[in-house]
Amino acid sequence: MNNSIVRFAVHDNNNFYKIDLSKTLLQFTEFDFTYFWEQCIEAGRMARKNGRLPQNIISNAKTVVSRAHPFVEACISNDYSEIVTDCIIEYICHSERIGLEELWARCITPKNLYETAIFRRISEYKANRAMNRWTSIVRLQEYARNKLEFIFGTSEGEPLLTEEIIRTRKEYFDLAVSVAANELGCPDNAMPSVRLCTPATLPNAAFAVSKVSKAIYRRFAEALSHGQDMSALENRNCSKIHDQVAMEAYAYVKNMSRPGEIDMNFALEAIRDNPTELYLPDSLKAVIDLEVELMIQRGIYLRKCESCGRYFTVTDDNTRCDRVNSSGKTCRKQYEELLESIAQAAKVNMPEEEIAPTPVPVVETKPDIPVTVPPETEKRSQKLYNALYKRVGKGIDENEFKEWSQYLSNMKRNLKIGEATLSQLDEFLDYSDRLCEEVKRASKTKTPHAPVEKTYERNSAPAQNAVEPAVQQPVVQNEPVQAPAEPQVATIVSSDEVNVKPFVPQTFDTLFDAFMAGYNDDDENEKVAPEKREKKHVEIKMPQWERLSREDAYGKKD
Amino acid sequence: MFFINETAAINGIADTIIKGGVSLYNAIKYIYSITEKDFYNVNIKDAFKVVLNNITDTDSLQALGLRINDRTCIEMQNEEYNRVLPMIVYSLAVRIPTLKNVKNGDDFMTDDQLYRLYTAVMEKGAENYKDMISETFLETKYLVRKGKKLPPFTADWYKTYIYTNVPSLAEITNKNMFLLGLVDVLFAMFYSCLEEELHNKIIEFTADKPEDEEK
Repeated sequence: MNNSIVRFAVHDNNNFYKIDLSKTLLQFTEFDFTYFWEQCIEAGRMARKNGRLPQNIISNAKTVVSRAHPFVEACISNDYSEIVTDCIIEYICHSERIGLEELWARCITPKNLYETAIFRRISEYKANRAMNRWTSIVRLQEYARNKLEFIFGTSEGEPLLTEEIIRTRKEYFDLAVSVAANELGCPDNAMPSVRLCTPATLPNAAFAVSKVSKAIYRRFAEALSHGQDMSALENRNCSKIHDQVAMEAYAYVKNMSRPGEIDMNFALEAIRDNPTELYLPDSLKAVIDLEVELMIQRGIYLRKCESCGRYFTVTDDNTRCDRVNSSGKTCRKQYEELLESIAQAAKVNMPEEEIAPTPVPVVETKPDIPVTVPPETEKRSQKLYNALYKRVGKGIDENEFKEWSQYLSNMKRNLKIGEATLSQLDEFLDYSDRLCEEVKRASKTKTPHAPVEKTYERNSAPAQNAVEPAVQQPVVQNEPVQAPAEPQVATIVSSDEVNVKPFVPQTFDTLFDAFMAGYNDDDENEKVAPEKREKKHVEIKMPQWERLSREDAYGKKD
Repeated sequence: MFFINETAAINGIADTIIKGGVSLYNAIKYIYSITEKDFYNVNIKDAFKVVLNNITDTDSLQALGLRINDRTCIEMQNEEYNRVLPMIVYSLAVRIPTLKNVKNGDDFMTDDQLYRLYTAVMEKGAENYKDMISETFLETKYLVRKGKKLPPFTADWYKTYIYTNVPSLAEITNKNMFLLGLVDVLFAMFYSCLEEELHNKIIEFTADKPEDEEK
């Protein structure tokens, strides 16, 4: 049995879902809700025009959000069924700077189905029958991130975390929430919880294990048809009479004998594949807490990658993750290559007499400078988005549009974290303008648009799109007009240049590159031809430190 | 008063009165159901806002998650209580003469039109069971003609009827006491909003006067 897989069930659903310990949590904490959010805004806009929510966009948005977490997927037809409306409500309140009460009062006499949907949803909030699932999921993502950081985060120079420390941190975190809830007077039953069950003890066991249940029912049908109706208990507080209720139900089957061999084999067949342990969480927070708890119990820990700063599951002593980063390589591989290059550079440039190993100098990369997208660029990209979106299925197919919009959002994200420059974004938007023109032309003639040269790809490519260079390369080569590549290539020494992608202007594959870059910066004549630059002899000098005595540094003591 | 299609106008206004009656009847049941298990979940102020903003929507309170069934208001699910609906409609019908005060310029509804409206409402099932409601159409007509003030629209007849005819609601219980307090406020506020709705409806029926008629 796989130690990292646990299964859970939810109310009002007869299926079982699984959690891959640590992976599900990491996926949730890193899930990008941007596309879902865009879909909701689009649905809201269309609903305002047409008076009803567009069902195709809603179902698409729900499919997207259900990928965030298996619990969301499990509850997408009940608790999370109105998540798109929730997102629209939140957007309206936020953009128009109004409260829920005001929006509710606006829609109290609904004029169309859209207003009815909003009015009904806010009424459900008011009557404590529902909550805004969109804001909840965003807050829970933040909660999960904070919890991981609290438990697994390490500061510089801190020793490796022991099991004891991790458990203590986790308990401390949970206790803090409990203390806050207790002090605020929150009742016990209002907090999220998880029950441990088996398929046969689930609240909806009769439906979840339906085949065997039917066989059992057939045996006791007559006795049960004369039984006392206990449905009235539904609205009563039964917390003190659980045993009594259970024994009253048991009374009808207490004389049950073990079934015959055929029936038993039938039950065996039906039950064999069911999980032996099944969790029944009542909320998403409960599932997150459960996952963290089980991870710690089973020794599955997380560590922050020293290169990209994201968490990954610990499998060995490595401090880098296996995610493909903006360079097209995994952080681990990139680091290994960096170490190799440093060692090689040190060997090549070291004077022959200096054989004794010197400490490896640490190449400090310049911190990336985050750039905010100027409003006019934002407006331009939004216009392009709208123009292309309108023509999906007419001049541009859906996949191409998705790829384009993903590229744009990656580009913006990279700008924010300083891994791309504004000029790269502008270049991409220039390309998008041309693409848009082609698409407009094609949509009139109802034919696929003519290929547009992806000039931006020569210099830039956002992280996620830069994973398969080998596949993209030939396509670019086949294009009729191909401008010569930028001289930037000259700075890349690595043997597999094709894999190196942009957005890493301040990082270097080898120490040699780092020194070269520094050398060129200092050079007065910056416009040296790239080939000349390559040939120029580079002398790598070690920093020359002068050791000061205490007296020189601080002066003589009185 | 001039209507483009007088019969349609009379029927339309009668429908509004009937729907208003049903809406008030249902609103009492819905709000009564709050006492079952939603006392701290549903804000009664919200319930009032919803009802008073949707005078002719008979089930608007479902938006707050309230339901009428044997579990939530079993005390009202009986023959005696069912008679309350025609009585509510009757209590609204006898006040039809007040619509004479609705004016479109100098135009207002004639006595004949008002009587036809009253008859239309009565034909749709209004009834004064055991003469519980002391007001009559003629009395109201007289007061309106004389320009005298009408007595407020209260729930007195409703309470009298409950005490004398519906034992399940006459009993002193938490739920029933809540009901008696609720109807006092609801009747008065509801009538005021229904009056406004009827005024709008009448103006609506006269709004599209043909051009040649105007000339």
